[in-house]
Amino acid sequence: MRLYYAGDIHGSEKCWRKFLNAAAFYEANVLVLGGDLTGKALVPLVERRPGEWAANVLGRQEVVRGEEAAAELEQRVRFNGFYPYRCSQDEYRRLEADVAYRDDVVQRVTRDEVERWTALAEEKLNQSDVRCLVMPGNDDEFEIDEVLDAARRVENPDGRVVRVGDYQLLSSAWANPTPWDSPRELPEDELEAKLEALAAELEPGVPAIFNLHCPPYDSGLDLAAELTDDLRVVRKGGEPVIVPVGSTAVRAVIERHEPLLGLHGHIHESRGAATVGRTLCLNPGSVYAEGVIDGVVVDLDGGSLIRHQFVQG
Amino acid sequence: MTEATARTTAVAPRMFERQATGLVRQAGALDVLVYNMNFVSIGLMSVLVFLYSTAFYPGANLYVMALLTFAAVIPTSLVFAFFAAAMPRSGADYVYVSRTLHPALGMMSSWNNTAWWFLYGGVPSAFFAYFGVGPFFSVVGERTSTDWMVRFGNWSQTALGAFVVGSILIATLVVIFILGLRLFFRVQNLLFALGLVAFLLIVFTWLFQSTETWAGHFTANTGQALGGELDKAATDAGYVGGGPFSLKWTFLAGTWVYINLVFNQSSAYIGGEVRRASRLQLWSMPIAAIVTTGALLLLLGLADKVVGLDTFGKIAAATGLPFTSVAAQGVGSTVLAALILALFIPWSYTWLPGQILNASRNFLAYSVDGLMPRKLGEVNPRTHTPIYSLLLVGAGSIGALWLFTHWDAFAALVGIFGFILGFGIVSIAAIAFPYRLPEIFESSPVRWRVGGIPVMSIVGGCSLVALGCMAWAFWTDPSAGIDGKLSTKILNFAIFGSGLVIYFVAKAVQRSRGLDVSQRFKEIPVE
Repeated sequence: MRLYYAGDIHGSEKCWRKFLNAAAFYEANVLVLGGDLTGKALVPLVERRPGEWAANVLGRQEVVRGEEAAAELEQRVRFNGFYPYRCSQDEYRRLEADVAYRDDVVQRVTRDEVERWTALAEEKLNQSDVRCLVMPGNDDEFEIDEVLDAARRVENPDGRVVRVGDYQLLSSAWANPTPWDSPRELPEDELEAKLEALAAELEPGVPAIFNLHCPPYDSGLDLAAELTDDLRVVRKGGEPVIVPVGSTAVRAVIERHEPLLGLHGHIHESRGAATVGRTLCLNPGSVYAEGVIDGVVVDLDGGSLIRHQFVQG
Repeated sequence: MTEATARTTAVAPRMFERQATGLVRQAGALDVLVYNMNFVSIGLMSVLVFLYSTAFYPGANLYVMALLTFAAVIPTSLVFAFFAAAMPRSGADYVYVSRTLHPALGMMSSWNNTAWWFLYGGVPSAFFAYFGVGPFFSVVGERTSTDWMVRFGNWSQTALGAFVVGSILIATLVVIFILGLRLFFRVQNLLFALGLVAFLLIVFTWLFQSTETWAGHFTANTGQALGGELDKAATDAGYVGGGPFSLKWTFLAGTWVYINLVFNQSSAYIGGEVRRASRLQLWSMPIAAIVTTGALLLLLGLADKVVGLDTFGKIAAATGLPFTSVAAQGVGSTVLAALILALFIPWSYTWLPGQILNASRNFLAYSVDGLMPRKLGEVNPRTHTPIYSLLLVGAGSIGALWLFTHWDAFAALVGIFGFILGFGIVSIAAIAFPYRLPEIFESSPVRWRVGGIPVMSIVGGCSLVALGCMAWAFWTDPSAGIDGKLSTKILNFAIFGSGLVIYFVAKAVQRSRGLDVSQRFKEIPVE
């Protein structure tokens, strides 16, 4: 069995399209997207006068005129993993002032985009027998779960143990607390209890793969810049200070159950392979903002892991 | 055709971020500036300029030299700044060239830098002995009549002494890096500040000192008479400075500035994830070059006022004293002299920590990519550091130190030609970037055009021209160790080409294991 794993594409439509094409490209039977599908920001395109739109793109104020230019601007916004949103000046003012309304709009736009993505998956994978498993990550709002659950060509394995060929895949989107207070975070003790409950569903004697969005603590797959309380990178001597930020719960569960393989994401800059106990853990990292998808191709056979290769597609 | 414009608006909408990980605030302007200035090293640049540019370049005007070199550095600096804005993440040239041109060329460019960082480990560690430890012990020993200090200081400046002292420095840094970077960063800020204090002490001393006062103290402390005796000793030692202005020699003298100044783009290696922060990179790199060139001009002006640049060149040729020793021996207070020399020691090797760190990080990256043995990619679970990569770089640096101290052909400037070849590939990538990766370019904050031509391509072209000029300078400069030396010419081109060899050898080795390295870099079709 050949499995392709990637994660953390954060709203990049180019990466999503590449993910769907990865099965044919790498001759994989199984595709796994390990969380954090959705974009991180909403970019309003404010209609200042009929046919003229203003937007803040990557810190730069831009004004475009005409439908074609507006569509091109939307495409550029999407390329960076953000969601474009056309609105009037009145609506923009409401978005600025009314947090609840803004949250509603963000959730609606996010949900619509994920629906569009699952439709794209159906279109691209309909004629193949590739299994496509896509789960949310800690950054994804809960609203997308029902979209993923309802999708016909995509399976959401989050919070379940599913059989994949001769193996069983245990999946969890949850992470330990982060400085951003993202939607799916739990204190370490609760996260460990949640993962243990999930592990209780494992079938004895069947090789397991743990698809846990958050990497194990202090594994080398969880190294990120230390942040101050106001989310600035701590620098000493001009260099960012790098610290482990993974989950002790994830580490404990892996060490206890010794799955064949651990698939992780979450920490984009910590791409690599590490052995935790007897388990090979992989984090392919992420550079989604460049329209490039970081992934790993894993060959499994006879209950053993044959080889793995990091790829950048 | 639909009209599209990009201009600043009076009423500025903003984007709304979700509660999502990774959205960090941008590095402070000062952080990035200091990072780049650390790599440029005002201290080492000044040592090299006063020691060599003043003495061995007939008709060189050092003020014009500083400005010409600055002009030659800026286009390459902007190439990195534009790339850092468009693809803001760690990796710099490896990422830029791999993505824009070809992975094999990316490996070639990156390996070229890694190999020279590796080899250059020997140069600043020798400088530590030659310009830091040695002068401190020699001068303070002489001024206080302490024989063991004089003996140790003089021995530190011999080939064997520099090798031993430099090896201890390399070993110490590698051990510190293995134990974790926190310890190093805690120490580095303090050391940088100490070096800055030494620099300021010299500036303030010269600012208020007369030529007569300096000359009186210098002659009294060193026994080195100025005037005819110095002229003869300098000429015997190869001094050729002074004389009518020569543009050629002025430009060639700038090789000693360029070796430092061209590394003002080092913050390209520490890009962030979200591109809204990336415009900071655009100006931080040129500003670092402006500040350091300004500091050099200030020091040149003060040295000219107090010592005279011609006299400086003669002292440099005749005695080999670094400018710190010239300043220290020119003051009456032994305490002040000791302070200047002691506090300057941390600035005598400032390239070294960055070289070791960058080279070891690259080895780790190659390993993860399957281009180097997997062992080099192992990170120690206790210290979170790549022990095997660090040990390899440390051992290589000690080997390079032996070469630098014992092999005359390995001059301090010998590898900059190789770096220029690598920068050339990055510049070509900059020219091609808007056409090869239009989506990333158009989505970046640097998608400017002049007359329909992307500014980034224009900057890449200017950089190629500037690099061509500097390549000629390093090829021609007798002090650069390339002119007339086949071995160092071969070394530069061999290292440049060896990245390609490594790429294809690794590809063959991995293929025998059932892995296809080329697949590692192939882009998945979007449609």
